[in-house]
Amino acid sequence: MNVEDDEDRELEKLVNFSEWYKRFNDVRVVVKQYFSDSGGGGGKMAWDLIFWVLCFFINIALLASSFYQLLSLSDLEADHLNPFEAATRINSIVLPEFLLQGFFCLSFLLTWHWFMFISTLPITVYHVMLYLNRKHLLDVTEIFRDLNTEKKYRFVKLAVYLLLFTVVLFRLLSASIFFFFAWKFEELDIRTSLFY
Amino acid sequence: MQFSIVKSIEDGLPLKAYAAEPDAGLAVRVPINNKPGSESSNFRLIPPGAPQTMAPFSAAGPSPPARFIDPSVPSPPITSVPPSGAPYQRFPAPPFPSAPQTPPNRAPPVGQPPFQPPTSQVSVPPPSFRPQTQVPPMAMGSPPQNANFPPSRMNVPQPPSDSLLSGPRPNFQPPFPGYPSKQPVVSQAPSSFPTHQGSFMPPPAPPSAFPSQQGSYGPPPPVASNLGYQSRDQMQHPVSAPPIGGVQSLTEDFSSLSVASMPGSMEPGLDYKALPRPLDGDVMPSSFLEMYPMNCDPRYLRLTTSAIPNSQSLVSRWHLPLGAVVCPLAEAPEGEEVPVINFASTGIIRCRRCRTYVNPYVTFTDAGRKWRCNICSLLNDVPGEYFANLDATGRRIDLDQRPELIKGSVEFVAPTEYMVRPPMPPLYFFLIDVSISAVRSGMIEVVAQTIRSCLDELPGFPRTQIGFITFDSTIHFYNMKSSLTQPQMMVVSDLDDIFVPLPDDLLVNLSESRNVVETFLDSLPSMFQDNVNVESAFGPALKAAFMVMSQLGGKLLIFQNSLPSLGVGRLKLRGDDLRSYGTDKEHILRLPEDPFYKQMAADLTKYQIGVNIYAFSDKYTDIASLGTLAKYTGGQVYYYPSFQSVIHGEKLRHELARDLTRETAWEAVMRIRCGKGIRFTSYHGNFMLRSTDLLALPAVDCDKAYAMQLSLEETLLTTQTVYFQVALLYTASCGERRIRVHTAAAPVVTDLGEMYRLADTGAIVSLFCRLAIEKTLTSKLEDARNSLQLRIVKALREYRNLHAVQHRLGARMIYPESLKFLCLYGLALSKSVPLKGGYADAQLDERCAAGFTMMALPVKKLLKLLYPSLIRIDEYLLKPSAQADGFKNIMKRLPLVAESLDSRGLYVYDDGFRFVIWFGRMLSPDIAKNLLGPDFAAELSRVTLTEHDNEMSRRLMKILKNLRESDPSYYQIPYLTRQAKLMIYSSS
Repeated sequence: MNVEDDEDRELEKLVNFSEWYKRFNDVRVVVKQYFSDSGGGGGKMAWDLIFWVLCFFINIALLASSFYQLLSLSDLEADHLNPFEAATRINSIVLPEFLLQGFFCLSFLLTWHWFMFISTLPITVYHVMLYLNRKHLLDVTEIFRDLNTEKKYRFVKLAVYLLLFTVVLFRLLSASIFFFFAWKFEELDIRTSLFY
Repeated sequence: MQFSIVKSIEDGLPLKAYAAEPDAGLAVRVPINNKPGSESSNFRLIPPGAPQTMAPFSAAGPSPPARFIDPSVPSPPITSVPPSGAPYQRFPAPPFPSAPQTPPNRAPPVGQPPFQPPTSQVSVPPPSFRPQTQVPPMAMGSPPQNANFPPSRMNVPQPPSDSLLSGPRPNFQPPFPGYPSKQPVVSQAPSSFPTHQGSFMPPPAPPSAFPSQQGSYGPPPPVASNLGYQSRDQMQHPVSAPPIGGVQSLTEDFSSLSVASMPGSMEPGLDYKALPRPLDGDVMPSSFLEMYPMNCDPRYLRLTTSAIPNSQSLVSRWHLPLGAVVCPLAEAPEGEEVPVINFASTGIIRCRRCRTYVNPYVTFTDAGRKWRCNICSLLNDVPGEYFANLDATGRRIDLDQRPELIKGSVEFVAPTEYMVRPPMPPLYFFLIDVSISAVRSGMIEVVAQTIRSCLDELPGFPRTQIGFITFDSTIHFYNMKSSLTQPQMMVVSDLDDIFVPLPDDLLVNLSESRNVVETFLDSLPSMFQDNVNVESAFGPALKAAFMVMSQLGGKLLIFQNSLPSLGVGRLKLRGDDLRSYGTDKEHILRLPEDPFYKQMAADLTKYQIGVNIYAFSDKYTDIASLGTLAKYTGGQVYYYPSFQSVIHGEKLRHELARDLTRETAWEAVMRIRCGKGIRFTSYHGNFMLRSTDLLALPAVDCDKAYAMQLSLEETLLTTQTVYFQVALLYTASCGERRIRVHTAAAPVVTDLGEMYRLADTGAIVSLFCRLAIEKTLTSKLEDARNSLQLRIVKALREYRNLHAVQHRLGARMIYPESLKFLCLYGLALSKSVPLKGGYADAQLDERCAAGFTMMALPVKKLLKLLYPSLIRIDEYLLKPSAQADGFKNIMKRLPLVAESLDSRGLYVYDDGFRFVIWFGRMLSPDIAKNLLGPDFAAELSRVTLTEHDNEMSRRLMKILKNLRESDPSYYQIPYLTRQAKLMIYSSS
């Protein structure tokens, strides 16, 4: 009696465990599936999110710098700013912008985001070219002669940054969706149901 | 009629490239870039072992260069030449092949195949030769079609060709040994040569024609030939570049019609005097003033055309620059000074909206209570104090007491609203290089003496301030406090962290510290006479000067004798590096090397400091970088290569004195306003733009002019008249803030012909000059010249199209009267120092210095530089009693052609920057002896002209003095030269 009881108890425990474990097993499969699919480790999803958040902010910074430079140039044109001040303002942020943009581009290369890398590459190359030719800074003395080209150049850059911004925003959203939704509502996740 | 000058294009404009773009004819180029030196290559004898390329011409015999073909052909041969041959022959005809193609190394001239000249002349791919015949539409190219032409063609080139081409042959060889010295100057970019040469072969002219031609020219008149050469040689002058070359042939073609009566005659019977040459110098357009008598004098403001086009399409057909040249402080002759008006309590009357100053063209309405702005047509109120009744015709009754309402140029005294700070005192600061080379050249002594002698005449007594810094590898400050008996010198050797050792007293009031300043200047030469320091801490010294001056602004005069070698702003000997010459990067040498200079220039302008650079070095000093300081601060560059106080001392003394004592406007800004619908878009000259249309001019004087181009903002102008108003706000030396206002009106026209009729060659050339020089900073010299030529050709072609139909001009080219000198000046311009030839034709420094100078020259001076005056003086010197009347007579300018020079004569050539005194070979030795003293037989380049104790010498000096006085802004040193067997005008 005792023995049976004991055995029953043991059996019951085993059954309980397997019941409990079954749930667990499902998750493991899901997780395994997810990770084998996107080729990373558990931290990858988090890293992905962090990476895109970072890109997002860098991009905003680049946008802001371009915009600021354009604004300064327009002010200069409208005579709200004298050339000395405009040149100092713009020149002080040219190099940081170049560095930031270089980092932006490089980070895509290192994380194997080929599409993003290729789309940022032209600007980087152009920046490097400007820098090597020592033409990256505004020339105070000829600022009015170059005004139109400088404005055009910054407009183009602003447009490119805006395009990049939309892409980055999209990637950021998708990364965050995966990050949050894959764990909390795995049942609802298409992938989880798919791999059952 | 506008096209008084008619010329056959065919003969003329040697139309280099024309065939390349047959349809357009755009490629017709005046062979402006011809180089005098390169001509010589034309005359090379065919080498004994003539290269294979010579083959087709071998029939012609060994000696005659192919070039002679055309000119020398007697009329029968040429007419018989098949059309295909004709163009080819024509090409060689213009005696002046384009420069860039001449090989740099002229030393072995005989080895050159004779074909280079023709090819070089045509800087287009050679195939173009033949196509030329196929260019009937433009007629320019197709010679044989018109029966009238062959004769004229024959005729025209003759005078030059006779003497110039065939003549030299006999005595060509001897001069060459002496030639090499000139070579580097003359030599040209070599690269284009071989290709041209090679490709030139294909179009073989009928060889049969040659022998006969050659024969006909066998014995040329030797004298004439010599003359020809000399006159040409003139062009080797870096500065002068007289138009004898292509343009001569060009201008001679003008008269082709009149000479046509003697076709085929071998006599150089062309009356060169009849050809248009600017012998009166710069003739200001008078029609402008007649039309609008209340306009300011053209010496202040000149428009490139006084007729403003009314539509964009008209502008696009006007290929010349559309703009203005402004010389706001031009010296007015006695009695025509600009009236100064003080409105005092009324305040200066200006338009509320566009800020235009009241001027003769405003209209008063409403019984004198309102006035309408002529520029923006806004109705403004007349202030109570300014009110005056109108008479029956609507004129103010007080008109004769209001100069601002009857005169185009007035000066207003500006009230305090026009000041951001109290008016600054005139301030002169001197930054003097005292390194060993400066000491050796004697520069310091001359500078110190000159400054000392000018102390009394510095403008602005008693407020004038003065200060000095000297530097070699350290920086020396001088405390000139008035209580001291002699100046204290403070040496700062920390170049990385410059500081000013004393807060005040480095810059002192001249009248208070007069004694200290004089003591300093007296001792300055001896203080450093044993200095052996070779370094130059230019950058740090400049920064130090900037720190001292930044409180007040003023004028900074820099005397620099060597390449900056220490501290910030040190420069490399990049000009000596031959690798970058002739490449696409060559133009970088003409730009400042270190951004320090541009930054510094901007800072200096910001603090109202104007910089004048005096450079003296015999070696490369990177004027391109140093001059940047002057360029953006409204200053100028004086360059005395290889300064020796014995030779150049007088020049420096005069020019420095002029710089110090001429009336200067301080802390100035200039703006030019114009009517609705048009806008000034680009500005050219030495200044910095403070905003889109505001020129910042820390120090401006009468020798500076500024050019600007305008564009139409609206597609169609509806007004009848456009008004321009130049306003220069400045501080006068007396401490008054003033506004100088020049107002001009110009009619708006709908007709291109009218624009041509009212064009002003001087202003156009001035703008062209600045545009071309700016272009040399971003591209090759050749591109700059080509674009200049292209624009001239386009403009003349447009004009021709305008009239070709109605006058059945056929193949002729026509010129508007107003632009008759344009080609000539265009040619002269592309032979001027900043633009001429290839990299080796002028020292880099010389080129840059000339560029900076020409960017600031007023129109009149520029034209004189481009077409210098030539005066024969021997007859005057010999006259027993030459009085004033005789003097007037001899001041007659001669055309710059070979025929003007007589080997028995003595000539003075004056381009405003120097004299060349030319001794004919057969000049009576008495004259030479009297003028030169015992040195008369010596090599003239080593002789300096001094006054001797005889009437003749005194008279010569008087002539030179008079010539100098006619324009005091620069001082001409005489260079003596004797007519050589071949030429060599001068070797300065």
